[in-house]
Amino acid sequence: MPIFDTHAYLESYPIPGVNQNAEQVAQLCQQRGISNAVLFSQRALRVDPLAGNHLLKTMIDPHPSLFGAVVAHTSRVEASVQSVRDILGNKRFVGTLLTGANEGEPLHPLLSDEILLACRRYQKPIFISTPNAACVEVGLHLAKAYSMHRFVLLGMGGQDWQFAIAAAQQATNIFLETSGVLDLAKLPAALEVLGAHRVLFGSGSPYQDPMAVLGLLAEAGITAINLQRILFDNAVKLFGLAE
Amino acid sequence: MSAILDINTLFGPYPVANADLAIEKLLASMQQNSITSAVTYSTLGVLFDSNIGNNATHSACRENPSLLAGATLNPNNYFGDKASLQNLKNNGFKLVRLFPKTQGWKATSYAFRTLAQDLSAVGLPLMIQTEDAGEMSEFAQALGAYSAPVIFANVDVEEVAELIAVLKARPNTFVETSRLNGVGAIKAVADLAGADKLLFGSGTPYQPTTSALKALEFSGLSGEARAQILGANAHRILS
Repeated sequence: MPIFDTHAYLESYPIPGVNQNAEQVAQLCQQRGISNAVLFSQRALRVDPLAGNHLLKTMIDPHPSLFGAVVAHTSRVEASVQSVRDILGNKRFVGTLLTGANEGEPLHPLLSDEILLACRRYQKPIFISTPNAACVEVGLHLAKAYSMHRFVLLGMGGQDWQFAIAAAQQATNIFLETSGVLDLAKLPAALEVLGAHRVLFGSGSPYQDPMAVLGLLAEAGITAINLQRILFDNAVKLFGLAE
Repeated sequence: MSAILDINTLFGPYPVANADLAIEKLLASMQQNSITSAVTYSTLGVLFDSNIGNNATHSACRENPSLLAGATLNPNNYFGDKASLQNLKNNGFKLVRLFPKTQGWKATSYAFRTLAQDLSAVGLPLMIQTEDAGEMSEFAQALGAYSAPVIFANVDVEEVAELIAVLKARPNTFVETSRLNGVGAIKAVADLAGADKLLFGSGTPYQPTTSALKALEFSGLSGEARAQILGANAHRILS
């Protein structure tokens, strides 16, 4: 069964030799049976959206199985909008990760307008990191305010995954990505409330080995057809890769 | 495959998970994944009352021979009853688990240092939940005179450099693997501090056993080193 990891990072990982370049990412994916992955640039997340996004584009270019997402900072609006305009039209870039000044803290919706408007013409999903309930609330707010966009809540709310499920219940343009805590209860709960069509497999690799998240899916009692949707079909459909 | 010992399992009500982690779920997961034995503790002991929790753990382990008892204590509720600590050992408890973040205390706490000093005479291994940068180093320093094994739990890849430094500096320190599932984390610890420092742990039934097993399977370590981590190291420490 093909597997699409919708949440992986490039560069700046504590252990040397892991995900520092696209070759290492591709090798990791191959070893674990991952057919495709969406990469986010840590350089763009932590220091420089313009340079980080462009470097990611260059790195993934020779690897057709790898895709990218533009990182856009609410604290670096001008550079982020420039990145969106430069890169998001590229077929290998499947969405935009909207982030605030500090990872783990909710971004401020007021500062997101310009970036979200810039993304509008590309009709590609918006990723938001949601390690906690506060970040989920911002995601829900944006999903309601920008109903033309589809939002992917990365990390599914972390320990507060029930908030993420509730948010997705309130806004049908929200999708949940499976990384975050390995709580055995969260996927059965999500599938019961939302069905399988708005859940995407993602690992947060290399911070979490994709095999660990696949282990969570393996023990969640998911039917084969739903598993295929979560592992691959939903991502292909959301990212418009079937055409 | 040789006998697998899971050093980190739990049972009982767990509001964070919004689930009752029944002992039956733990036993079923062990059976499904060929886990021969597991050290377990009652969540009641961490979240409510150590005595009630330890009684529940003792009963569960008496009824199920594949389960080994892990006691839970809270330094904030310790008033110097040394006999109660000795009783834990006499009643078959294999180690003592401490949860500073959940219970609201730190390595600098005199209550913790008093408890550790009194436990030192009993000689039971300690297993300490650490989640924040610097915590492991603080505990390693605070437990400098503790001669029984000290096992760090819930350590993730962001703390691997600190973990390796602590494991190398203190011969009696170890780590369980339930949160050590970042790519390359287990191998880095094994290569730089020694595979004998790693103990297989899963956090089951809150977390899936499969995740912990897969993270180890794909760690890049030899079959021999993995077998050591899956059982031999823990058997040696607990014997």
